Amino acid sequence: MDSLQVASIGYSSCWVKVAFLSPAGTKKIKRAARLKGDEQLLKSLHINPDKCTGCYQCVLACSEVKTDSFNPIKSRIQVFKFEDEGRFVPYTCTQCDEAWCQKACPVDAISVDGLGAKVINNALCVGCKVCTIACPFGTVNYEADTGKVIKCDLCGGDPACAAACPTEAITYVNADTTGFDKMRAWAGKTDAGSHATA
Amino acid sequence: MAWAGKLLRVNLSKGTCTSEDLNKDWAQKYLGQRGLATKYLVEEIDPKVDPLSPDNKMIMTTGPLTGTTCSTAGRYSVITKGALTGAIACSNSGGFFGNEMKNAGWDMIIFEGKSKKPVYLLVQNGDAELVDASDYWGKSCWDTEEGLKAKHGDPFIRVASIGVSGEKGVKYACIVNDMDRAAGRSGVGTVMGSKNLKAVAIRGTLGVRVKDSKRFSGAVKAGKKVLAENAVTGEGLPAYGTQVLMNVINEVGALPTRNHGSVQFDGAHDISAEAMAEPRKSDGKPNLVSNAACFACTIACQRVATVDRTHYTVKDRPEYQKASGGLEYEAAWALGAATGVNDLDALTFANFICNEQGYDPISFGATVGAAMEMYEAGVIDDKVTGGIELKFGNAKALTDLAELTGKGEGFGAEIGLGSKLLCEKYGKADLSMSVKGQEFPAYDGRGIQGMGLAYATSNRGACHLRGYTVASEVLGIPEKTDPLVTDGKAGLVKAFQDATAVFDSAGICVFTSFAWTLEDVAPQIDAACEGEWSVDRLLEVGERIWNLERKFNMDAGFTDKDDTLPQRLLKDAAKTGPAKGLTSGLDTMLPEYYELRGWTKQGVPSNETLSRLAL
Repeated sequence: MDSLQVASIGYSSCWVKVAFLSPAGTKKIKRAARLKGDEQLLKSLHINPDKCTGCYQCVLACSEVKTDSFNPIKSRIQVFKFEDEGRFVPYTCTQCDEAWCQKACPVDAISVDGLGAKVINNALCVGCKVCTIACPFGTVNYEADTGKVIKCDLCGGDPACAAACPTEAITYVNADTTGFDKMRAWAGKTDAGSHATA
Repeated sequence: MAWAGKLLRVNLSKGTCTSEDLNKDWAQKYLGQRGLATKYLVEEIDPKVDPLSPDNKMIMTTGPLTGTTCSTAGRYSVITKGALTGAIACSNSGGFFGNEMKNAGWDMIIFEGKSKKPVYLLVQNGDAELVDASDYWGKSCWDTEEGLKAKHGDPFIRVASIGVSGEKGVKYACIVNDMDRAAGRSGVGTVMGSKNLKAVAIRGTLGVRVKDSKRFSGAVKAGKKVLAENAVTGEGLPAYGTQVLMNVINEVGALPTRNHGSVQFDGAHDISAEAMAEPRKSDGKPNLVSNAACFACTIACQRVATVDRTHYTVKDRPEYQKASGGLEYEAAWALGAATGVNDLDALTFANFICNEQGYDPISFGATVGAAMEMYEAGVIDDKVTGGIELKFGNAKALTDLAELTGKGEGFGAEIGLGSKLLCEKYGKADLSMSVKGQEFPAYDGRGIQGMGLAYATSNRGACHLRGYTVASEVLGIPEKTDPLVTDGKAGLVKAFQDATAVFDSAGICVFTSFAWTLEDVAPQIDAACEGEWSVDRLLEVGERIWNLERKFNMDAGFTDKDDTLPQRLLKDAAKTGPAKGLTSGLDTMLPEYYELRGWTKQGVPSNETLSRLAL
């Protein structure tokens, strides 16, 4: 059951459990539309931290598109810096197929668009923040000055972060192939000496 | 728009923080950052003031583009009367601090007076307060930054602080932000320390807006494309960092070695970008871990590096075995070639200490080089150095002095005087390789003639960042000139100086100028800022700023006699390389430069020039 799922990954807040047991919490989740044939393939943001320099261009592009200003805290994508290792990791919503944010929303303010993006309807959002607790990754966040939550919506199919990234650390690719780069890299290592061309 | 429109005035004597409107008329004349803050400083302090007295002021300032998505637009500068030089000081830093200040709604913070006890300034958007810093006094920049982030429970607070060297009055102390970015030169951190100001901690979430966001977005995109397609900014700097220059400048015969005793270093390769990428014997990993970017920068030249865990400097000290800010060219040169040390790990360690304790590796390395020459000549001995065998090439002497200077202890306190005062103290003033009290960076004025003039006339003392003619004389940007001749160099230096003043006043990094001319910058400024900003207007702004700085220095007591180079560069010819047999042709270039600037033969801006520039 939904409440058990919540408990099983360690959320202890009763508030969350109540929310999940509410009628809205038990509704059937709509799966992301998977388009076939001539129609557009499902795509997703693909993040390769090895290529990230920590420049914040993605963060700035996101806040520009969403707020018409440059303001990192308003960005739906964030970049985390691990100083001691010299690593940078961009982080945003993965657009889970079974979206816990959507499941948790008591007012049906989160819907799935044709791209599979989980989108907030500001007219319905009451700023209860339950989705921010339900999201296991922390990528839904409350915005105090609007009283709503914000999250990545893939910019309607043309994500500004990917367009702004100078190193292709963030790309917008066919959702079925997000692991191919990594597979290729490992394939090369496990078969030293050959040069894969796939 | 672009400008936040507000400045924060912090009176450390009274403990007050007040908000003022930014002078918009001045912003139209001086753009921002370097130019605008210099205007404020000139209006507010007596040029003859002792840099370390409460009457000196220190201004932290962003540019109009700081905080925007324009590539590299995260810069801030610190403007004050320099502790090392007594001249106008303007030190520029990257990282993320500049954006945070702008996003908190401040173009500028003016610090005046002196606090009775150590304090730090805490700014959260429009709220600012001075907080007791006794828990942090005596701590390094690294511990202060980590401590303040933990205390305020916010990892996104950005901190700029001084280390122990700044507290102890090391003359070339920096202000360090984001662990390893620094407003590095001229002793701006020394001034901060003299005010009992330990740190500035800022969190800003207000957003930065521009005049015409659609046009700005297009101009920024075009600018980023130029940077990406340029060989230096698109390939060389991300891959090798500024360290790509080590072997190049050595080949050119302009790598000052062992206190400028020669112009080529036999150990250059050992401390180069190429060496940083070579796997080492102990663990098979290279010195270089990755490159990194400052805020909004699409170049990403910063080095992240480690010291070999088996190296004597770190083998029993795990805290220095982590990755941190690695060697940039100027630091690698000063710590290495200037001292004759070719141990890459010793240099990387010394560079960590410079960042940790907040002092300038250029002035430090060059001062150690001068001290080594005095030691080898028998002018100073083990009694003076506290038993340190200060011979050229001694890595242990370098790293021991790095730690002592960081704490202002032992012979490190004397190294902390800078080469000018140190050499004067021992009666060897001519061994200080400096102009206006500031040590040379990594280019020899004999092998790159334009740089000799650029150093002699730099308003903040010897410096490569006021007019980087290396771009033209060595790299061929925007067009190749012969580094060995003086012809045309006066004009080249003036053009670089004026253009650089614009880059430094806009909020962007001067490294963009490897690919951008003002033709690339003007559309971005024009779309962001009120007013109309053409290339011609920007050039006039740059020239105005240069003359304003010059005027401040003249009023502070500098004369044309200070526009000179050490005798070594004027009298002793280069012994090897392409410049063999050459001295600096400063005597030929300087009068031409004065004339081009519209200055008198004594180097004083003429009334006509001042009125043409509305000064």
